[in-house]
Amino acid sequence: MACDCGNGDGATTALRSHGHRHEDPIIEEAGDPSKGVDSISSLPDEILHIILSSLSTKFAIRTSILSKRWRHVWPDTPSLSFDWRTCIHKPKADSINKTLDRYTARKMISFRLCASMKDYMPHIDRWIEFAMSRDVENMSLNLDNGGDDKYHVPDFFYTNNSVKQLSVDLGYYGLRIPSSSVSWTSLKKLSLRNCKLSRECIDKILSGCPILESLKLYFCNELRVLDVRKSQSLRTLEIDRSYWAPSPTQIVAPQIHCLRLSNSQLPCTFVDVSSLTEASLHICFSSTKKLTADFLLDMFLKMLDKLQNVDKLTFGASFLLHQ
Amino acid sequence: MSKKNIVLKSSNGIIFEVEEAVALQSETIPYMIEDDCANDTIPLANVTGDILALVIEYCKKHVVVADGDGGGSSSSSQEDLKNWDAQFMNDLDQSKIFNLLLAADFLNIKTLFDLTCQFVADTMIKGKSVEEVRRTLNIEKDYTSEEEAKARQENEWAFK
Repeated sequence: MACDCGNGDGATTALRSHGHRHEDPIIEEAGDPSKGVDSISSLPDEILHIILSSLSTKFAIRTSILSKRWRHVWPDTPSLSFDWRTCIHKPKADSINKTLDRYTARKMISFRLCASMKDYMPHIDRWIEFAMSRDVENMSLNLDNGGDDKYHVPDFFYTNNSVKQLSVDLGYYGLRIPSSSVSWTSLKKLSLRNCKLSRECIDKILSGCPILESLKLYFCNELRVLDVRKSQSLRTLEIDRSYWAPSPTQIVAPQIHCLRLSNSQLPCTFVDVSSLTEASLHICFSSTKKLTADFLLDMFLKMLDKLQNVDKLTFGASFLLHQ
Repeated sequence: MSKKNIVLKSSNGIIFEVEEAVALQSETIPYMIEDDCANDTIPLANVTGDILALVIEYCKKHVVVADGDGGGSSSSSQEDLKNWDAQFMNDLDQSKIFNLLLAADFLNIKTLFDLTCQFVADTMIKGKSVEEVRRTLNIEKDYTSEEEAKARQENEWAFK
């Protein structure tokens, strides 16, 4: 890594190509500034907010008692990230509500909530609404159902013009699209994991996302045929299937440029993927399906036949064979 | 293809000559280059020589990789770059890290700025107790015990 210091910099090369990071003979090292100097507290709030944005809110809040300088830094951080799935001490919903009351950022860049429904069900809608009211741009919801089957994402969730990236993991709740419609006018990247999706549901989503570029479906059952023709803008499709969520088995996506398909236990038919230029297919079979070599070869050939215009093809395969 | 060089001068007068593509990873530098006197030296009044050397080392590494895979994103080169970034940050002491952060902010090099912020968050704050963070970052506690208790009480759940 160090050797690319040397090319083409003429006279100045020698100055910095020999261990400047370790010896550093120049001037300012005199007092060894790394010992004892508080450099972080003099950074402007805007930079501190960015540093705190990459932490979970719990650790961002802890900075408020470092010193008086830090007292009011975290509440203006444009990001909230709650993850209580593995917490031993799960916070009470009321405590979170109080924390949100003190939160001052008017505009949020990201909101992440990973929680079990059974602990927070009556409050979750309010928290989602809170983030949406601050014009959040990236939203990630991971809501573990905890055995209760009654939760539905509230209707207001489906109308929003600030979210650009949305990731939803519903732990097998159905994504119940309201009868009206979906309107996610700024959404570019959508990732749905463990969601029950109907064909109608996908159609409504695609119709309501005029600039959607990327759609990821992870283990979304009940969708045998994935037809994305309702979207003009969609270019990237990523699908992860599994033995227990083998859908979809047919893909109709003539406008897609890039396709990634993983872990397919059942065959998948490319009905139309004629614009593809990049494809990454990872096929995984287990012997429980009793697939024969002839069948596999035939399926591969059919897939390849549909990928004639692809410039970049990555093929991976794993075969789990049990006696 | 002729490659143009740009001359940068640090606050303590050290001169660096770099290829244009390297310098242009900074979104600030283009504003400093005047069309008709591009050969002039660009003075960077708030970046010292040792920090500028680091910035250039980073930019050179990243420009090479961006060229290398013909515009596409080869996963192996992305992986290499990530490892290189991690090593690059790990080799720095705290004073350099914060000066690098300010330089990346001033020069508007987004990837370097994000990398540095993430490194600070991950290695100096994340997973640590308040006392550990204070010690790591040399932050002096200026709260009285009562004030600290009050601040702690506001969000008690976060300290469990």
